[in-house]
Amino acid sequence: MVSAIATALSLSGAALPGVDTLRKAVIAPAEGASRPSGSSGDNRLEGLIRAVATLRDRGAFAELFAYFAPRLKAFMLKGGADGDTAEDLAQEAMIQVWRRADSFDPGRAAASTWIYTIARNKRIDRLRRERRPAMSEEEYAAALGEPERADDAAERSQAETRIARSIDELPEDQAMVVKMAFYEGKSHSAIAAELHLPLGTVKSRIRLALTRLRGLIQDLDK
Amino acid sequence: MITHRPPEELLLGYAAGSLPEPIALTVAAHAALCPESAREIRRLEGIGGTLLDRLAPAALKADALDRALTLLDREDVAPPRPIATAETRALLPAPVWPYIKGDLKNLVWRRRSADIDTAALIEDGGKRSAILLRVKGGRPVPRHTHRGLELTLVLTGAYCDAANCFERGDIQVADPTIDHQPMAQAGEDCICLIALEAPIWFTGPIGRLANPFVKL
Repeated sequence: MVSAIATALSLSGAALPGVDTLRKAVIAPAEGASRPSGSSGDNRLEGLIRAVATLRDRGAFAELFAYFAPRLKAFMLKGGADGDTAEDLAQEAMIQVWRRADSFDPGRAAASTWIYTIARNKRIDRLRRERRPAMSEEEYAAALGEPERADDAAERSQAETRIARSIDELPEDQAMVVKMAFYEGKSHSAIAAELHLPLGTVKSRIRLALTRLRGLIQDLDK
Repeated sequence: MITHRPPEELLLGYAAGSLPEPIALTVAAHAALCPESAREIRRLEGIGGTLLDRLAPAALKADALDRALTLLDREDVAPPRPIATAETRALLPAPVWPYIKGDLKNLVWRRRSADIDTAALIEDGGKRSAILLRVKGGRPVPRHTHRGLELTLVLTGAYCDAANCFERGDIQVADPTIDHQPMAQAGEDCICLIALEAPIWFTGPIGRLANPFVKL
């Protein structure tokens, strides 16, 4: 049904019948409900980004927006933005998705990873007022050398599913510091200060968590 | 062959967006030369992506989607990445190009001693900075210690301190516990990208005299 809306959107231009479902998903998002489950769901998100890149498909964009914009807003709120700023930053990140869709390469990053890097950069630009010396997708490609195998995208989305599951399985103290690092953009010492923990404790919790999560990813890289 | 890579903490800081700009710049410039670090950052960003995916969504305003759709056709006002000259590409990794508009001619080299020149990339009221440091081949950098974190990325030539040698792409992390006197290897000038959290403090006899005048 959603793809029917997508087709209608891209054929009919700006004033769009059938977009109501997506509008509702943005205004009253249900956790997990709007995502197609399993690795086919990841493929679907990647397909939508490619449709934006190659066809400038506004319907595909609306669908991506319905899924990601509420999560991007939540991400910005966790990073310390107020409601209006968080909403603005989510909007700006999604516009960047539209503009830079052609740099997305599903062989190198999952859809959520690529969009995460856009959001992280927006957050630094705005909240820290710093420039972000980021590597572009093209520079990653240059640094990483040889093109990856065609089935990497499928493996990667399986890896994501497994990481997601393993995050749930981390001991609570490890999960908390990893989430503070990524969601709140906090340094090890800022996390230590906030939790009233010795810096060494924070470092070792993060190291344990990453070892576990990274081990899962590396298994799949082989 | 890159043998000195940044500790996991810095790669995570880069992936999570928690590093100050000069440190982030140096880590990005290193990763552009080091596939292993680039791959590791990508893995860590994958954890970030998974965590983004799993956030409980926050409701947007009623017109959010319509507002976004009307903005799609607006022109991108962000300046495009500069096109770097061939000499710039040969010396500097891509993340540095925007800081000099893609052209080495925009570097302002300042003479610090007979053997040392520096050029600022980021200056932040003296608290945090990123500079290029050029040391004549075979010459020492004055003995110094650090009041904060110091990252050094070698771009040309090589240098050694008492413990290790560093070549193009290698990164050295020094903190306030380290008092060292690096020496550029004979031959080519050694050019490094250095990120400083606080000005370095020279500790040798000549260095101490020079301190009031030499703020890197």
